[in-house]
Amino acid sequence: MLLRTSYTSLITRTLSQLKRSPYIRKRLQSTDATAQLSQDVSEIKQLPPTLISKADQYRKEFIDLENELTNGTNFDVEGQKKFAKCSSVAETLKEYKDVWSEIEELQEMIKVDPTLKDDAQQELSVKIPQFNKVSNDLLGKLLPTHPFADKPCLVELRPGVGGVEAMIFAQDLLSMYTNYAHTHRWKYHIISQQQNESGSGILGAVLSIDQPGSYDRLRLEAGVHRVQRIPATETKGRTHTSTAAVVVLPQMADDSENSVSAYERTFKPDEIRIDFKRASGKGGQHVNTTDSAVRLTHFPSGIVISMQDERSQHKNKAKAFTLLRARLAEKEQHDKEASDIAARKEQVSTTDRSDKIRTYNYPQNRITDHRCSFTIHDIPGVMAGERLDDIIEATKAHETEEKAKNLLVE
Amino acid sequence: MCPRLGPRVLRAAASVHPWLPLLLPECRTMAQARQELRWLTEQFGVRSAKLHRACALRSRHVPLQYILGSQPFGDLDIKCRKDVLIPRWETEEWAMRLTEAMKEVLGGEKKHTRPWKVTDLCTGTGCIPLTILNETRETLKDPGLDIGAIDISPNAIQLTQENYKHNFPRDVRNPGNLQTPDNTQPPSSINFNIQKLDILDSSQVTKYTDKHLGVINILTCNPPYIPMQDFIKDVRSSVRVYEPKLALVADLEFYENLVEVWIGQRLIESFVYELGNIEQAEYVQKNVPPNWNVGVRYDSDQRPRCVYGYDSTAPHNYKHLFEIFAS
Repeated sequence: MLLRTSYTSLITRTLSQLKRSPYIRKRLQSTDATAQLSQDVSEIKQLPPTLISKADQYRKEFIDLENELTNGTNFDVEGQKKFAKCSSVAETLKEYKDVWSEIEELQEMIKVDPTLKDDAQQELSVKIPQFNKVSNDLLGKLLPTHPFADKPCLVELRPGVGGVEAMIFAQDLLSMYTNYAHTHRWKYHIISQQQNESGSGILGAVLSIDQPGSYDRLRLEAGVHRVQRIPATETKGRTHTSTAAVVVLPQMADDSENSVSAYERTFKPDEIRIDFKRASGKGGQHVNTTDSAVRLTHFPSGIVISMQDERSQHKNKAKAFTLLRARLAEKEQHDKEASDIAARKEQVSTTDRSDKIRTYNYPQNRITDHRCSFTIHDIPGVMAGERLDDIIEATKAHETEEKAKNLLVE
Repeated sequence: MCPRLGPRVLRAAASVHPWLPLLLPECRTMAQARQELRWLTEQFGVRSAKLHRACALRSRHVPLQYILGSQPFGDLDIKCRKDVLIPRWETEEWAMRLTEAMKEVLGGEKKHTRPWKVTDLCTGTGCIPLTILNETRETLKDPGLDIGAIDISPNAIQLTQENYKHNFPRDVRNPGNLQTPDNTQPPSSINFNIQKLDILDSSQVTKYTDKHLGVINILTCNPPYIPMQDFIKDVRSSVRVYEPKLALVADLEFYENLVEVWIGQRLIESFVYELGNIEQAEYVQKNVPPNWNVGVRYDSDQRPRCVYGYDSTAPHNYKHLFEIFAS
């Protein structure tokens, strides 16, 4: 096993230097997958009793609600949501218990009658992965869902330390996320993008991914991404380390002009200031300015947003308000989470926002996510957006685990 | 007026893009020049002959909107062409505010039985009436909307028609068809018509209003408002050389026309006129009949930009409408 892993990484490393054949890459993946499967069979992921009792509460509530329903009560929207949640938990719990009792019977059978051992073992090898899947499902359903999980998102990118190389890396990340949206066939558009002086990288960009639920998918991408490679600007062949920051925000409403102007009026006049580039002189027909830049300042939160990509002030203003709304919602949610943690008086390592969440090491063709220690050896595949899902799945699984721990503490 | 562009700045620009120095004389700042280069590149492609020609035109101070052929206005894309005034951001600002106020106040009014009648004078590209059509057609489709666009210039009439077709391709009816009067057109709750008319000639106005019966609910206008003595002094050379004088130079003529013809002959219930200096608003205020309330709206650059007014005896809640408009 050990030998094979080192051999695999050796091959991957060598191949990254050469032109890579997709066939070989596929072969390597499939061996990994079989290794994963054999591990699943030997391990039963049973949920702790506290969680099961929590699920049982949902089941009882479900029965109560069902009785109410048969008595002719009509639920409002909240009630319907509650009913849907309770019924789905109850259903999964039933499945969980059924499969578990089957497994127990099989194990009993092995003890009682050793002649049936082979048959029972074979059946167990099917039942245990099934059980693990149901168990994971149940765990996922018991965890509180993120309040903005069904929202589309905005992805903000900014270069960090590392000068021009960081700007180039920010550009690479932008194309990674657009490629990602593209492979999922999600609608996206670039809201704003500022090129650097030489046009090789970006000073900042905002990408809007309009797919509902994309926020839940991408929110764990937020954080500092680090790159280690020999930059195109380097003449002596030294490896540099640079960073870029990614911020993922929930998109609260469609950015049609109407909802924006209604949103604008929810602020008090002294909370917000809108600056245009003022032309001297009389304005109106006297001048024809093309400078449509808008700067939005929100005093209570200290958020400042500049927008200049559009040719009309009206559109720039609308975009700035969309971004402000997203930032405020995200800030509010973050503050709420922080106060929840403070209320529990215990230090929880959060999966979002921690510094340096991921490293892209080009010479080794390796990407490592530092939160869940997940490593993948396929930079071209990830940057093309095709295998980013592998990393996202891993971070999500990690987050579920962390949250489950918190749930047990409660 | 502006500081000289030194060779150092021009050389720095050339190192970014060979044609960027061409944009500097009009843009003045590097950031703005790069922004314009980006817009031009989006339209003409990278390093094409067309892009080079566009940059060369810009270096001679030709307005960017004439080179690109369009300007966004509200949610619309307004085509722009030589001989027709380019829509300004100030106009966009008040026009959008007016549509918001209309949606809020007029949309809630139940007792109104005939279509709301809105007319725009000196319409130019048609940006104001088309924006009103676009923004309010959903809210006001019952009882309906009857929008008129009037200009003296055949170029403006032609361009307004093109902009109507460009932005509302689904409205199949031929707009502004002068040969067919209203009664031959199929009945519809939304109507948009374009008319060539010299509004300073009161006999033509009478002829027009005889044909289009009914009092106008809101009259909008962005008239030429730059007095001749200011034209040389205050107007940017790019505007002076390339934009039509017809749409720029006038003093009180259009405000006199408003008071004497449109208000004097009781053709309208309310109006919004853009203006260039506060004297024009004062003139209107002094000369309207006593039952008219007149106010001034400032743009977000704190300059007086619009004079508005309404007949306080009119049956609709114009007071509320213009309170929202002015805020």
